[in-house]
Amino acid sequence: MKKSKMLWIFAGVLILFNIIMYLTRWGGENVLAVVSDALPVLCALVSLICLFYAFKGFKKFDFAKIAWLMIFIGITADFIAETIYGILEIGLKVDVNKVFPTIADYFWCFAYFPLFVGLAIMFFGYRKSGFPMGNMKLYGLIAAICLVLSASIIYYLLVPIMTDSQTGPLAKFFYLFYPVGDIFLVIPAIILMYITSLFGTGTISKPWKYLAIGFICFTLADLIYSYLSWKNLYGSGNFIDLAWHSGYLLIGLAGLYQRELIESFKEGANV
Amino acid sequence: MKIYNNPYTQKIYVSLVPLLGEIVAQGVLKSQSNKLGKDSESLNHSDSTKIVEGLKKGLSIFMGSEAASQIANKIGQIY
Repeated sequence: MKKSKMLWIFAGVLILFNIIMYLTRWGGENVLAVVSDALPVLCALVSLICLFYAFKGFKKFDFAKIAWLMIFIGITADFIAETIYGILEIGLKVDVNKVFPTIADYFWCFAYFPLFVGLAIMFFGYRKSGFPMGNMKLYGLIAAICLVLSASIIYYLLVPIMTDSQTGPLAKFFYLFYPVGDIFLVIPAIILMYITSLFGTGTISKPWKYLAIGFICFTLADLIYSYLSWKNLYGSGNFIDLAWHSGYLLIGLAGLYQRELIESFKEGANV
Repeated sequence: MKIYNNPYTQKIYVSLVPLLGEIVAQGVLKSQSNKLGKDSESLNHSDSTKIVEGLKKGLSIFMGSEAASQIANKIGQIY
C-alpha cells in the first residue's frame, strides 16, 4: 500500500476520533485537555516526518529542495511549539491563557518565516519556469479578495486588540503577529491554489494542492483562535482545533505525494 | 482533449497531459513554440533540444532538477 494511502486512512481515523472526543467529552475535562494538547503534537510530528521524507527525495540542492526544506523547518518549529504548549498545560499545569505569550508562541511566530519563504520560492520558481500563469484578471480578483480579507482582519481584529488597554505590549505584539503572519501565508497559498487549479488532474501539481489547502486550514484556525483567545473564549476541545489537525495532516500528505511523484518519474512509470 | 494536426506536437501533448493537465500542456507547447518563433503546429524533431530545455526549467520547481531532466529527456526522445 502506498504511504499516502496509509496516511489518508490514519488521518480519517484520527479526525473521527477527534470529533467523537470533542462531541462526547468522554472522561471529562482532564481527558479532553490531554487529547486537545496531544493531537496537534501527533499531527505535527506526522507532518514533519512526511516533509523530511519529501526533502530527502530530492537529490540536487536546487530551488525545489530548498522550498521543501523551508516548509520542513517551519513545521518542525510548529511541532516544537505544540510540544512545549502541551508540556506547559498538561505536565506543568500552567494556565497558558494567563501567561500568554509562552515560549511556544516564539516558536509559532518563528515558523511563519520559513513557511512564507518556502511558499514564495515555489511561486517565484513557477513564475520563472515559463509555464502558463493563467488568467491575469483572476490575479486581480485574488488581490481584491486578499485586500478585503486584510481590511476585515485589521478592522475586526487588529484595531480592537491595539486599542485594548487591558492587554500588555508583549501580549499585544503576539496577538497582532498571528493574524498579520497569516495574511502573509494565505496570499501565496491562495495563489498556489489557483496555479494548481490550472493543472486540472495533472499529477505534478498534487503536492502543491494539498500544501495550499493545509495552509488555508491553518489560516482559518489561526484567525478564529486569535479572536477567541483575545476574548478569553478559547479552551480545550474547541472545534477549530480540527482545522489545525487537518492542516498538519494535509501538509504531511503533500510531502508524501511529492516523494511519490519524484519516485514515479525516476522509475519512468508515467512516461 | 485537443487534437494537433502535427503528429510530433500531438505526441508531446499526449505525453504531457497526464503530468500537467490539458490547459498547462497546451500553454507549455504554445510558449515553447513562441520562443522558437513558431506555432505549435509547426514543431519538428530539430526543435526537441530546445523544447527539452524549456520543459526541464518548468518541471524543476515541482520535482527537482534531476527528476525534471529525466522526464524532459524522455519526452524529447518521443519522435
